[in-house]
Amino acid sequence: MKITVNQKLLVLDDKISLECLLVNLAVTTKYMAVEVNEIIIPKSEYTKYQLKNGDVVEVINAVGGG
Amino acid sequence: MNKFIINNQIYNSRLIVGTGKYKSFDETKLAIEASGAEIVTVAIRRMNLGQNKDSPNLLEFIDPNKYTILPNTAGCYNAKDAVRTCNIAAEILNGEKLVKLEVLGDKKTLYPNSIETLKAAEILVKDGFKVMVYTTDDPLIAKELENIGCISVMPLASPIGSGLGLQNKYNILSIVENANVPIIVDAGVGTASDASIIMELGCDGVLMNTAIACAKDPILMASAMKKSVEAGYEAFRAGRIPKKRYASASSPVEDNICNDE
Repeated sequence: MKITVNQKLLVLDDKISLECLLVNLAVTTKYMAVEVNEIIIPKSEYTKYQLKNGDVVEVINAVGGG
Repeated sequence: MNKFIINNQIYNSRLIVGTGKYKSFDETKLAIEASGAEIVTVAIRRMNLGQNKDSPNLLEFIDPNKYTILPNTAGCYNAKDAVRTCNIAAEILNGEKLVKLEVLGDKKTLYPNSIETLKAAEILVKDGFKVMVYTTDDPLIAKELENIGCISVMPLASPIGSGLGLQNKYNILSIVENANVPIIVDAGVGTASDASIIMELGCDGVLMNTAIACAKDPILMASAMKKSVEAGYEAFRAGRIPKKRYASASSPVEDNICNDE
């Protein structure tokens, strides 16, 4: 299965939930958002949300800005 | 004295600061503390998922329980992208819907695109966002944004990051005079006196980033800006003297032993 995470292609052997993906990426902050194919996935749904082949995932946070 | 109220919350500081362009998160934190600001802007970007998995998050340094975090839509050039960014910001901040809307026109001037800004503002207000909106110094656009339901209108002093200070004093004055929402001048401040001049016009606040972050000593400049915003606002409330073409003696003209007229 191939998914794109923050513009980087990831090749995975098995199906994976969004929660597992974030754990593997060591994303721990509570101040973050995830879009899959430009749709925001609420934090409460990370555990049950299964990623599919071809999904485009954006992991987003707050950075310095004016 | 009018209280400075944004989104039903009273703030003591009329200075809003950005968090961009600092050398480190430590410096960001110290400068914000020195500025006395209670509202702090942030940008919304992809998370760095590179090698530095333990790299700190900005909001670990700028505590959302201590500061009001104002996410911006910087870098958006159309209404659709700005609305998308605001929805992401609300998710990041666990449902907070206070946003700084900015829809830009081109990369050279970073001048606001008024048409797309108006479109985005309408959508966001309908979606329940509390919109503080960056705009040109056009009094008619400013009023239209207020009529749409933006909770604060934020005209520029001069282009973002330019440090040119207030370039169109009379337009800002017209905007302030016609407004029923807080007018916060956003962008263009270069040094402390620029902020005072803005506040002396009767503006409700000033938003700045580069003037502090890119000063030789950002923490000292943050302190200077705190004082200049306070000084300008006090001077506005005190009411300045009218300007006169010629002198008017401060000492009595009568009973001068050296000059009996």
